[in-house]
Amino acid sequence: MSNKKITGSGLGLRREHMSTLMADTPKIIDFFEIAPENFMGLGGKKGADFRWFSERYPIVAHGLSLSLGGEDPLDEAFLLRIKAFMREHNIELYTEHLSYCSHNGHLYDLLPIPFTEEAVHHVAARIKRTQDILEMPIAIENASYYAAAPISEMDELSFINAVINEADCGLHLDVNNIYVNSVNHHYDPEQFLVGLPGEKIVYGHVAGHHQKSPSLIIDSHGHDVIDPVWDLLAKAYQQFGLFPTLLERDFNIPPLSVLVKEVEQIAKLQNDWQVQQFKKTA
Amino acid sequence: MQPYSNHYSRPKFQQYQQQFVDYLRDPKNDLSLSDSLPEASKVYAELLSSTIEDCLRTCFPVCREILGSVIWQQLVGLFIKNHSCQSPLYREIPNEFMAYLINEKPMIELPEFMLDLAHYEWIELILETEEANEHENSFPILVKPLTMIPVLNPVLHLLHYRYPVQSISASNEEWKNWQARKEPYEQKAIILAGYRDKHYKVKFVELNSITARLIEILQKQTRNQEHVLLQLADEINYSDPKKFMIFGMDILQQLAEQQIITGAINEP
Repeated sequence: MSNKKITGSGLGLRREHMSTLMADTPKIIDFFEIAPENFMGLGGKKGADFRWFSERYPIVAHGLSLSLGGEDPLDEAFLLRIKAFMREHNIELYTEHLSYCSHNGHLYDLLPIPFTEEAVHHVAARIKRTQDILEMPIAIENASYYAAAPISEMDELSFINAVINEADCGLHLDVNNIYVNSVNHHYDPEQFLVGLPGEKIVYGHVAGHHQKSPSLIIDSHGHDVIDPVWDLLAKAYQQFGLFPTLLERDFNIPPLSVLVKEVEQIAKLQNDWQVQQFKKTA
Repeated sequence: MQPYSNHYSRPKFQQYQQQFVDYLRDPKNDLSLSDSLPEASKVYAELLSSTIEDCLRTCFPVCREILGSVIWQQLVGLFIKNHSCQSPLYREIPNEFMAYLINEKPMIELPEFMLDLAHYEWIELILETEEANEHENSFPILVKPLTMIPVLNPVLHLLHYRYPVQSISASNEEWKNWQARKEPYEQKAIILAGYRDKHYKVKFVELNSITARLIEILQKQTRNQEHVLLQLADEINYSDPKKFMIFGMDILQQLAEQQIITGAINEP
């Protein structure tokens, strides 16, 4: 594929659906996303199958293990491996979470950074260094979190804005994470959304979650997307214009046809927005 | 495993992260959930434990069954608490677990065959996922002329075990009841070739010591078949090299059929 630009609606690539997709990829899927950690240096059947996709579709690399907020030194050798992997597969967008996942070694989970001034500088410096090494801008995703640090000096929205402003990086907007955090930390999701730096959005996520109790939602990516989250995505398009958007599903993986319906819903919201724009200018 | 000092100049958020992670690694220690950590830290402790346990359970199903869920959970807990994982790759958590078992010797009673069994379960994952560096000029099959150089399967490991890892299972009382056992298990050296065939299937074949030595020679040098077989005959003091050549070609042929040898190249 010569044009690797990321546009439209995409699906997170899971091993469970690889062979079905290789037999017949629904037209509605414009691109796929993977965690580079899961495919770099991978041989065997899965490695060969991934190459099938990267030769045919644009791919987004959504990282898990860079630990932008961590105290362990930024793993530059690992970043060089990511860079080589992206070159090899012609991948042009890399995003990471605004969180950390290591401290005296890796913990393989996304942990919440306390929202402090010092943390802003720390994270922004690591993002800048990452962009220097990769020789491209990256985008950071607003993360879901369950435990609010009592030492925080600012709210989440101020923290995200400050980091993006200082690092001069893109925003990977996850509307499900906004919804999850709005329930867990009692704020208005729409108000939060409009406070984000819209001009920095390069990419979006939508996903399902697990309501563990009335006051606690776990960002499991294991359920269907719920209506308030779809509404938030529509609101985001209205507010900031279109951005390529991907459906994430990592657990309780249903048949492909179920996921394709959700990808179609992304495409429908994008189409609705375009029709609306056309009417405005007509 | 505490390279960070709590020097006064260390940012407050990093001191907090240290405290938070210390708690996640050892949530059973009640004192560690101090006043300064939010109640929801428990959610993270559960997530961390289940992420690591899911990954290890998938890779080491027989170890888990033989240890039983109580000892298994204790072992996983010790791994999370004490081991510093260096790999950023989730699929390499089992590598970290092996390194922990071998180098850090967990303070918990484990059966003496545990290391061999764990290694055998782990190597299956390695064989499944390892990148293959195919030899570019290799003919697809082993051809007869003695002047050709055999090419080994690029995903091949020679495995030496002290216990019959292939027959250890939790459905066998002999292995399941390791805790009640009075006398040690009998050691019996076995050699396996673990490899991935061209249909991406992982295979294990038990080898005799002569065949294993032949593969070792092929791993170390690129000499033609005649040369390799003569060296082997010499090593085992075989009196009639001509007769050994016939015998040796049979072994090479069989290795080719098994896909342990995947091709041959011409001498330079």
